[in-house]
Amino acid sequence: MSDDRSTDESAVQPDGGHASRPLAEPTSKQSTLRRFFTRDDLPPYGALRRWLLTTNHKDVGVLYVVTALLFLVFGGVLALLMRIELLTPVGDFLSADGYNQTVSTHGLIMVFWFLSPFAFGFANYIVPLQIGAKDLAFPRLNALSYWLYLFSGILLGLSFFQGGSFSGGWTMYAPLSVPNYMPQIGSTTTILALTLFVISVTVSSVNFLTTMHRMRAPGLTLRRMPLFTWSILLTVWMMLFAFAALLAALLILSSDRILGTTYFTAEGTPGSLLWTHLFWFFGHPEVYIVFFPALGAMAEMFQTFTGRRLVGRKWFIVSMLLVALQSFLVWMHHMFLTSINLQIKTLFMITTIGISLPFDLMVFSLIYTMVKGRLRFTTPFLFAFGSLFVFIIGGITGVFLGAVVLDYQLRGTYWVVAHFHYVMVSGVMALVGALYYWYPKLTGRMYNRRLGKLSFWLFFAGFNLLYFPMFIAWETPRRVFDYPAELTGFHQLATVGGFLLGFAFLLVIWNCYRSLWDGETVSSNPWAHATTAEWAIPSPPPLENFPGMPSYESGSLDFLDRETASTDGGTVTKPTPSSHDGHDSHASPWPLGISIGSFVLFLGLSGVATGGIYVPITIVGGGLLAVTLLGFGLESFSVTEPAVAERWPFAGIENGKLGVWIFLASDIVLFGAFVGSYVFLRAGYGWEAWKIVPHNPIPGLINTYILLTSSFCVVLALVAAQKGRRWGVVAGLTTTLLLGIAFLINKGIEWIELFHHNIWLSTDVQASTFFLTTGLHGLHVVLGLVIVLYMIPRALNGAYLDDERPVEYFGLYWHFVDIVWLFLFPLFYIL
Amino acid sequence: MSVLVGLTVQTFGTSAPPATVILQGQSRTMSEVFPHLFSIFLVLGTLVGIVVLSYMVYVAVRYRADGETDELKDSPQLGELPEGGGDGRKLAVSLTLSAIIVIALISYAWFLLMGVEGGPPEVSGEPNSDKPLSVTVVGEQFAWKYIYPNGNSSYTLRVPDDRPIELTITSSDVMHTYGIPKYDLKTDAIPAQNTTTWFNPDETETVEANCYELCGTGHSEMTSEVIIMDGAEFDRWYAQTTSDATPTPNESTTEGAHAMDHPQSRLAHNHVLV
Ligand SMILES: [Cu+2]
Ligand SMILES: [Cu+2]
Repeated sequence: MSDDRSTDESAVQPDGGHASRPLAEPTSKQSTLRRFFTRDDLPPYGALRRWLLTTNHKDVGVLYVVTALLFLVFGGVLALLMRIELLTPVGDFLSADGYNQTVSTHGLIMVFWFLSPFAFGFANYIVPLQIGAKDLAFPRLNALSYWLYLFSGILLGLSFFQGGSFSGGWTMYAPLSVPNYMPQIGSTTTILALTLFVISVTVSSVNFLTTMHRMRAPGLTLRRMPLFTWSILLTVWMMLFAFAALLAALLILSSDRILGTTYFTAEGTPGSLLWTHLFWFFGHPEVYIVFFPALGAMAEMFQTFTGRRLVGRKWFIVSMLLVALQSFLVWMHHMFLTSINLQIKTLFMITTIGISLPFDLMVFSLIYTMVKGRLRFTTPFLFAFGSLFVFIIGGITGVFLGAVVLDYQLRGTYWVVAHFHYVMVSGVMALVGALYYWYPKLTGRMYNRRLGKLSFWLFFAGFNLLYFPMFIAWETPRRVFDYPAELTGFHQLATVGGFLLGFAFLLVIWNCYRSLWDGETVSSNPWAHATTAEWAIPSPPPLENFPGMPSYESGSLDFLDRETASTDGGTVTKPTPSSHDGHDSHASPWPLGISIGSFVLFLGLSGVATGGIYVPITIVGGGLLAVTLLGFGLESFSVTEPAVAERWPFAGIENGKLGVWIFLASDIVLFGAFVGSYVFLRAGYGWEAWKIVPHNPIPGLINTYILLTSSFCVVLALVAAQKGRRWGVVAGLTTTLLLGIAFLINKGIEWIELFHHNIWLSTDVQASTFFLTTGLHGLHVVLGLVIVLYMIPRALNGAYLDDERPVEYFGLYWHFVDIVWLFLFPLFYIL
Repeated sequence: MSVLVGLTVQTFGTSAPPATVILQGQSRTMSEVFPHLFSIFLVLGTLVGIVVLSYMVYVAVRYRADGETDELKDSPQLGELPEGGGDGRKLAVSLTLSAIIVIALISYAWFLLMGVEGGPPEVSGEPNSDKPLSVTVVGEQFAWKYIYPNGNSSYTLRVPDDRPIELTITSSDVMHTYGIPKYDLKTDAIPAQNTTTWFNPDETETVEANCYELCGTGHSEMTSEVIIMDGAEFDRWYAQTTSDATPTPNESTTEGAHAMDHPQSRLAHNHVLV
């Protein structure tokens, strides 16, 4: 540690703003509305406006944590309703359908709206600090992720008021999930809410990956990253691909529900199996997506509170890496009871056992770290220790399920329920530990230690009293309220445990709330032996985090003067022409606006098929979304990329471009899932017997040429921009726009022709796959044209002559859309 | 650590004898295999769990900071770059041990799986067993319909106790999972797909079949009776059934609740799909 590092608390204002940059006072001449949206400054924490406008990673992190805890209460109340119902072996408290809705929404909320967002609250706050970044790469997109998350959750809540929420379990198995069996509008709303959530996750994934790969402090190579950051990096990579598969599944399901396609119900095709494949391809990585951040936080806490470095750190990371890769190769172990054949079962049994072994290593690594340490049983460490304790039980009981023969009998029973709660809520336990661990950093105050320890023991006792009896009563079928009477005692114990656990959660929340005022103030590093960078800066950290440029080039953390930063280590990026005076923006109203627009649009879409009030809601939502997106695009929001940073393996490309690449990678999985679904259904139907929908391949062929030509025009526009020829840029983009429109008109004629022959989306499964897959591609074309339409007037003003990168990014997207068509055309027109 | 090593090796040893029994390639029912294997997993799992957790608690108590003792030598410093803290060998040994236990257990389970998947014993090979009875099970919201080879169908499964029963399971609407807990038997009922399973009834009794996949409002009560009859009695009963017999919901289901949820009230529904 060098001495030029300033951790002087007095240099920082209590609101977290940096003293050296006084907040600008809005002048009284501005109108109230104008003042409300003034964005050059950030209002203090006390003001609601700050929380609505902020794009700062630390504020967004706090928002995520608080919101996730609210959803925890929501999901927890649902769980307690179930536990009350299960006090007796007959249904006497909730209605049958009410119980199914409770089961389903509890699962959806806990897995999606609580666990991951809770972890990503910490990721938002801590990861930039640990890697030495001032903020995430795209701060506005970060705020957008948060607001989309919040509004997707509100949409889910609304579903209960639309004739009943979704009642088909969190696995949403088809065809139970289609309107024939589940006609309520609320079920559609739930699926759309989850879709909105997935969009939030995708935006967030792109942002985190770009940040973590491009903005690490000099000297902080990937191998040297702290373990929490490592766990988040791998989590986000898994998210990027797994959630794209879920997005495909949800889009298809939404289409079956709203547009009347027949993917999951058509006779002669294995629609229900298609769902299980799509869902579990996402669903198994999801287990690790949920658990990895907890594991990373556990590793941090174990190091800090044992006073020892993690034993076998390298192997710990390798294990996580192996799990992350292999998580995409085990999904069929959720389908051992379906009609898949013995060879495949054996294969997936092997991959499943293979993926369990790295976890053994990680568990041993954590245990051995304690040996010869000096263990300080603070509240966070108690939670981390307790988490490892119950995780071991969860892991051992999971091996039972990996043995196919045992799975045959245990599947669909409380063995599974007990097992995955032991694993998942072990993760929650670690994250509650993380909450206590980072609480002083987030708030500058210490929690109440006595209350903290009490909350742990209640939590631990409640946890085991709730879930352990489920192992003993494992013969209870899952998701029923009507179980064998001799198991009543165990279920009653579990209910008592459930209330205890609920109370422990409330105690945790209460402790965090009260200590905001009552807690003693803390220094920058209240824990001895913490090594990571967040503990080297004040609690809470100032707006732009660091007193100088963080660097690890000397072998440990230094904060260098920005001017004297050495440039031989990391990759140097030349300062971007668009960056103004190095003054970064920290607030924007548009993420909130876009999220409200999306919320209204999705609410409208949920019932648009039934007409009525939903049609105007849809139109208003669409309009709102368009306006706010435009506002987002036109807003000048300055972010500076660090001049020097570790950027392996993406040193050669700047943040924006990497962001586009990462997004396209997830889009490849999305289209892959659509094409995979088509191939799966067609193979099940009989490849040759399947009839090709378009009567004539010629329009499709013409469209192929049109797209290829348009791609060429984008290249010409880029070349013109590089050479500073304004009219060349305008001409290239305009030709692209016209060709795109020609593509759409040609497609429109083809579709109208089909409609004339009475072939609709709902006609048969061939038509469903044709219209939906090429329609999704068409939507990508439309989106591209909207971007071009936005770019042309700017090009007329010479916008891209100094900085041609927007044209280049658009080109990447447009070429991708073009390449997708090259796959779709033969598949849907010829083969 | 050597305690852990010794114990796990020793406990693993206990599972060895049955392994010699099963490698004879004979077919086995789930009700033979499951309790056997489940108890082995349970005993070993409990032992491993107790050993690892006790060791963890022991370490926690042993190395607990007592407040006064001075700092560790070479304790981690704020801002340092992480080094891999050694002890790779200890980790490797532990991992290898746990891998051996897990892989051995799973391989053993896999051999047992072969017995189950082989289906009922062949008629020619085993003179004592009668020709298996094949019944098709159709899951429908919210009842189980059984179709016999002669075309007779019913909402109660009647089977003889003197021969293996082969079940072919499918669904006419959404996904269900058919299971008879007494015979440790379970398999998915998937629309437009067939799955198979089999069992060997051994005593005359009435047991229950359940649904194990959330399938809608009536899921909790989607049960049916399985009546195991004396072989001769079954043959007499079976001889007087015909393919024309169309079951009425109340004929076979004793609990009135099922009548309400009977699939026939949902036929209109199913037609939408077709
Ligand atoms: Cu899984
Ligand atoms: Cu069911």
